Amino acid sequence: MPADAVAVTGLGCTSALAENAPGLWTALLAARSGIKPIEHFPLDGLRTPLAGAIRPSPELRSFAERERVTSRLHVFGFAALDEALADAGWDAAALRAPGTKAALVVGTSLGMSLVAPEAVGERLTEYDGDASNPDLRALAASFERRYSVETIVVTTACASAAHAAALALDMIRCDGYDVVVCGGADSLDRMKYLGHSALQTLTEDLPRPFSRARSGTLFGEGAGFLVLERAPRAPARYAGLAGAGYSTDVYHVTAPDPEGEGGAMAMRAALADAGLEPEAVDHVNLHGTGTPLNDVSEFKALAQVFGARASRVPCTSVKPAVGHAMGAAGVLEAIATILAIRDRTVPPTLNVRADEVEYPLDLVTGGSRPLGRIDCALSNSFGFGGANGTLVFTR
Amino acid sequence: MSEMRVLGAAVVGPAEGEAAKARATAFKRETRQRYLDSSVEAGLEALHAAMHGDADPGLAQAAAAGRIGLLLATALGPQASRGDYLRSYGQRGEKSASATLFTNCGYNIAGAMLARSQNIRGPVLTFGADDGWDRKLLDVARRLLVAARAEIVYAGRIEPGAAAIVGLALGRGDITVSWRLSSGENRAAGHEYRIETGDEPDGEARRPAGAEDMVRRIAALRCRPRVAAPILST
Repeated sequence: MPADAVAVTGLGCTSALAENAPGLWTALLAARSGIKPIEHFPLDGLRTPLAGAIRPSPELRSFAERERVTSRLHVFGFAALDEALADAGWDAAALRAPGTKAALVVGTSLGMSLVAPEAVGERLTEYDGDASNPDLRALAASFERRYSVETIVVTTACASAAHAAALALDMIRCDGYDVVVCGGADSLDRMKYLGHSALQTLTEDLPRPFSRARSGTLFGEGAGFLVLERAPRAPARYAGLAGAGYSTDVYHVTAPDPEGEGGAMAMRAALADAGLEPEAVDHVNLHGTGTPLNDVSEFKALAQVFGARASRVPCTSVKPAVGHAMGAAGVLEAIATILAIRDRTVPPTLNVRADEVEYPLDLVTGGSRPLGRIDCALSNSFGFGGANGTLVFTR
Repeated sequence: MSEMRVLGAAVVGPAEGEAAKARATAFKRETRQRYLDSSVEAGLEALHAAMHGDADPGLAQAAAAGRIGLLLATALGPQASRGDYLRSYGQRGEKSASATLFTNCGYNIAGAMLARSQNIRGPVLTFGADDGWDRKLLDVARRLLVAARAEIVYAGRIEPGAAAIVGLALGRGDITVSWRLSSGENRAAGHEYRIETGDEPDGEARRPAGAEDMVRRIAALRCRPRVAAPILST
């Protein structure tokens, strides 16, 4: 682990595949899919009935009831955050102990539910009791109230969680924070899915990233958090976060830069931040949405950064398994990247056969692939508005 | 490394509404945008004024190279787009769901538009403007500068019809933002900021700024003649 890396000491998540990080990892390695028919809101007018939707387990429902949590975003977010803290040996009381400098950075895309009953004339679904408040102050206050630590809410569409981790990294490196919990949370509702239907980013099929047959993505929901601690104080239980990079496309509101310049800038910045060369990268967890425009842009970005070696770096997209979880996507993928380093195994990209990959990439398909070495891996997140973020994790 | 100089600043509110609309119209024409949320108009004008108020010829080059960042805090975000998107559905059903309005419901779209207007390719981040937003924004700006992720950071607040933005770089200037780590047992409380100006009466040159409305106060100091009425009261 580079000297300037911070240690990832805890993981937690709620996703369409599993309601905890070990379960997510087991399911990804087993090539299971969390894509399923939506049951928690009406489907009229949607382009597809499928999504990476979460059907809360009895345990999660019980958690929501016990904690009196009334919105999907908070059920997912608080459960994931509690898991990450416990995994790292922290709890909310320890975070606010005297002498401990701690913070929470939460990424989200559209925040709480877009369904405002007074405007759309529809009743909210379960766990949407206070969900229609679009004021970001309410979201920040809800996390700050529960954990009693400084809380920052960052919203950069589907790059939100990656940016949350990047911000957390600098808080530890530059400002002496002892521990920063970072990640993202987003929930799926009818108005968000109708919007994506209107945008025609959704496939009526299944997501097939980088396949010639790809026709769009499927969105999802969930939350995930990483506990980051200053390396000298904590052994790297999982991995090190060695670097982060930001960039902005300045191209279009929804379409990525077709030449992949922005994505390449983010990857280069992240590697430079980590003090590493592209040759050090053993694996890339792709943004990999499966939309025609996103995938070609990301391939061109990879080609710029890795040159001919782009075709030899094992890479994968977990979005076909968990759905595109918007503001939580970056952290679910970061968790997959971290555990790939730990176990030296890359989970497969579902729904894609090796012979139908359109670009010269070493896309892991079919089943999970053990590798002799994963000492360094990238996780890419690219969002609407041209927001790009890349994280570098090291053993 | 304990000081940031203020490079430029602007506050735009209802009084600058005409100028903001004209700039927004020009931006829409240049970028072929059919639609802009009303919160973007004031922001475009504020960023333009804050960047060009400094007349630094290297700014465009730095922006294109990703060496300039943009940080915006907001509470309400794109309120008009969100309202129109939901009302349209409420009145006419799912077939009226507008891709354009939905896209503009994203809290970060205003920042993306502002970045595009000045070709800012570095970190462009939008934050929830909760209590202490101004101090948190300055903290992030300072860390981006210290970590060399940007050489200049424009930071401010954007709400429907109003925006305040300041440009910051490391070092001292006519207006300097200095900070020190909160001391003693309260290390977790973070940094205390002070604004220093050269034109304050003797004895008041150093004004402790606390954490309240920091960005607005900096902007007000930098561009007194243009300060609109308190606009960021949301």
